[in-house]
Amino acid sequence: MESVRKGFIFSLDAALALIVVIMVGGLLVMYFQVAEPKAGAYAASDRIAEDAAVVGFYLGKDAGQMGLSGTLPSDEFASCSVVYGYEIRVNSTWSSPIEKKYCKGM
Amino acid sequence: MDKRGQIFSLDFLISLIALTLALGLLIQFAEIKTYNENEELQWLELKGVAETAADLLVSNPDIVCELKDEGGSPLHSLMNCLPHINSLRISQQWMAISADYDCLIETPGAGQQLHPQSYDCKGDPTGSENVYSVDRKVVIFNGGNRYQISKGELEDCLKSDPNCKMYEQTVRLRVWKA
Repeated sequence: MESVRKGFIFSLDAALALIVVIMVGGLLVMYFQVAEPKAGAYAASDRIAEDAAVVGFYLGKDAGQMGLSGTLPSDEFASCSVVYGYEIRVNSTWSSPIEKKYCKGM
Repeated sequence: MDKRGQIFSLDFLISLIALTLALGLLIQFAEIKTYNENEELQWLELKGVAETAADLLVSNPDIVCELKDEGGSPLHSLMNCLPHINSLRISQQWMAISADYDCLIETPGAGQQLHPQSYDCKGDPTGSENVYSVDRKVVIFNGGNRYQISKGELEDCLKSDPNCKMYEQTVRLRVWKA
């Protein structure tokens, strides 16, 4: 009596394994394609906040007048630059630093 | 016993066709990927040159305003402060832009463009495939032909005095492969 041997190539196990490998590979590729543009946007936020802080300092403008926020925004990502002033109090034994924040959220 | 041949079985032939198709797709994918990687490498290089140039535009002591004391002695350079166009000094070399690249500095939306007589970055990006633009916020010191600003003039601006000679301006730097 002859035994019937089925072909190996198109077994269900092999086909399912191939589909899983393709899906995982595709997910990994998509993840890294999204991560790269976000890095560029973060760097741009740093630059915007820093420029606004320096220009705001020169012209005596606060964050609102420079189009930014004076407090840390609750966005996914935010970048702040801080300018420190110094308030001298007359008739007092202490003085305090003044902190002005210039924050850009994303 | 009747032994069937293995090489020309239907199973084998179908798998051969599928394998050839898969190899063809893989080779095509590899070619496209290599092309995309080369394009991305050129873009990243352009981005690096442009962003470094923009950082130097607002920080290089050879370009930005200089603070001086009452005696006229220089104190230090002022980041993000550019002199008026009559005394603006810019060169590609000071912004670390090699001869392989060309650039243009402009002030978007302003009535007066940054076109003093003697500086680089006056190119025309029209027709260039990849152009990278960077906007930086600066103050322009409107002190005539001077790039040096006195402490008194700076203090006028810090206190938002009407006599302040500085005004806010966005400067756009565009860089492309020459």
